[in-house]
Amino acid sequence: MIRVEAVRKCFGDVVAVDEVSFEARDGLVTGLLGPNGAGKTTTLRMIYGLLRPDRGRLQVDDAEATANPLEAQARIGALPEISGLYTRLTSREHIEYFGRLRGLSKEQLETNVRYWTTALDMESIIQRRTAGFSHGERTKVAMARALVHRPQNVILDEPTNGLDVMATRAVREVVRALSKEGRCVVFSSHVMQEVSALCDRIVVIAHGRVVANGTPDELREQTGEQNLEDAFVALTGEKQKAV
Amino acid sequence: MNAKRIWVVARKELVEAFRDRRAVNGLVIGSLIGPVLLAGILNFQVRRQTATELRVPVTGAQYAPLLVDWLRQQPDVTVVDGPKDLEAAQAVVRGGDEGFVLAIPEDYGEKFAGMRPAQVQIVRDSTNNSSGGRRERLRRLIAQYSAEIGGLRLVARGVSPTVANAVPVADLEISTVQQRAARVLAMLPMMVLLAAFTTAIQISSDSTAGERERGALESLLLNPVPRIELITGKWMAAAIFAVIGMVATLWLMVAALAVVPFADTGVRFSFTVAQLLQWLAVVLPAGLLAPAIELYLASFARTFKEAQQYMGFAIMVPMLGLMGAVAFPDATGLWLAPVPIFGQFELANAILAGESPAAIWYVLSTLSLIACTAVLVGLTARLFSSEKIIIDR
Repeated sequence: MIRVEAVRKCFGDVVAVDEVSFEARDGLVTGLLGPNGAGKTTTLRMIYGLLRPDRGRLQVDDAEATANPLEAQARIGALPEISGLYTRLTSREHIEYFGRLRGLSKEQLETNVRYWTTALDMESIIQRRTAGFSHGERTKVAMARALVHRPQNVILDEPTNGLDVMATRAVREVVRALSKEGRCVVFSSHVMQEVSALCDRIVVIAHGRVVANGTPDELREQTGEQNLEDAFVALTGEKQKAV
Repeated sequence: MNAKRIWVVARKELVEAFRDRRAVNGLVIGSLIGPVLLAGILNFQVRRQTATELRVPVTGAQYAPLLVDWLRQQPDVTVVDGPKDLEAAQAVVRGGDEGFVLAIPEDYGEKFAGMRPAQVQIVRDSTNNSSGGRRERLRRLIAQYSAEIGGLRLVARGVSPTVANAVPVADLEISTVQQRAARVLAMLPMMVLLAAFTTAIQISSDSTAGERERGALESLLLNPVPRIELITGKWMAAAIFAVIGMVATLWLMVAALAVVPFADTGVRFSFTVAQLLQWLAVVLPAGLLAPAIELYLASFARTFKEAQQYMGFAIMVPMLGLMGAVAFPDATGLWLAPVPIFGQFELANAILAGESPAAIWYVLSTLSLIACTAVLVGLTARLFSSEKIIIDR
């Protein structure tokens, strides 16, 4: 469970996130939807303890992210928007590195590496160094590395950005499986179809504020638009920028 | 601090660095600078020593058989037949085929017998400096011959030759063999300390600014590991690199000293393994400080290239210490012991010169170095805790 309460974050004079509140429950996929620069990444970075909010509370299960970022991080597995790899290490070494940093035992690590190799269909690349990997392959490695400890809370920041159809499918399947296992998944995207296909609840963010929060049906109802894309445009009020 | 996690980070950085051609090249080249320089200097000294051989081309040797015979009897002097006349001698010197030629005029014998000044000429070209030393030696030899003959003539007239020698000058050489050796050996600490800085540059820049540039840092910082542990791990990997570089440099330099035939130069290098180990114990802590300085500087950089530019400043640190040591060779005050790098340099030199410095010097210099390292690692960890490291990419 992830709870964000009235969180505000400024960079100098710019208000990046303003009074954002939402809750992502276990067993559900919560979509964070908004145009580029709406404040999605900043909000997520505050949840996983990289940025400190100026105001507000962030809670991950029973851990307070503001007071105890390491406690919150222990309960989260997160794939940041930009997750560069170490080109001189193999896929397996990437996953093992993060697993060891998180204190997994040797047996646990072995089990989890095997789990993700199968779940993300990485058999052919697991022993290879990541230099020259395709975008899809890189995303798989980054995802396995981020989720090596099988966390209760999963945050994926625009994971399908620039991926081809097959890789996008693989990511979606993982997201569905995670939520079926009762985990809390937060998924950010600026792509409408993605969010409507995957998410149980949608939080629409624009200009650093939450402009809508509900199930896809509720959003359609709220805006009076039948098409979810039209609903999104109506909510964000950004006819030009909206995708 | 969790030692196991620190080692996890250090091990990953080492694996990556040893697979990185740039880092390995940096280690190899950094370790080779000192030995190559030392071998060059030793070679030069050996050559200068063997260059004492004096080869004298003589034109008109038949006019002064006594003088030529006398020259032949002098140690390290070879007399060869020169060009046939003065004009040919000038041409040879002008062309650079000979540095100089001793020319004896036809009337030498007549004047010598008549006890008038029998002049000889040294054909020379002042713009050619390389033969200057040998030319001067020839001039001194002839002056010596002239004085001997003059003395004999005085004796023949019943006058003591000492009468003609009013003010003699003698050189008194006071430098000992050990001191001359120390001048060459002073390169050892300088080069080994420098290697600490040069060998760790790549790994320090790559593990900080490089990761930031490639976008790998954010993912790493999402792990519930205190930043100080991450930085300590990265520092440890770089320090291992630096120590490898220092040991390799020392080993190669000692090998160079053992191989080069320079016994004639008067430099003797006789150290036991135990002495070398003691020496290493003094110098190696610099391998802790150097990567700490480099990590700190590189952490301000957003890209690997930018970090490389900052590394120039890192190299300045040992240079300042060494320049200080050169500028104030007599500075031995205890307050200097804690000056990082300078203290190590002075201690290392003292041991090489066969002195035994006070124990307090060892303690102060090593403790100060460790303290500086800890402060820098802490400061780097603080940089990594700031939000800037994430936002400014």
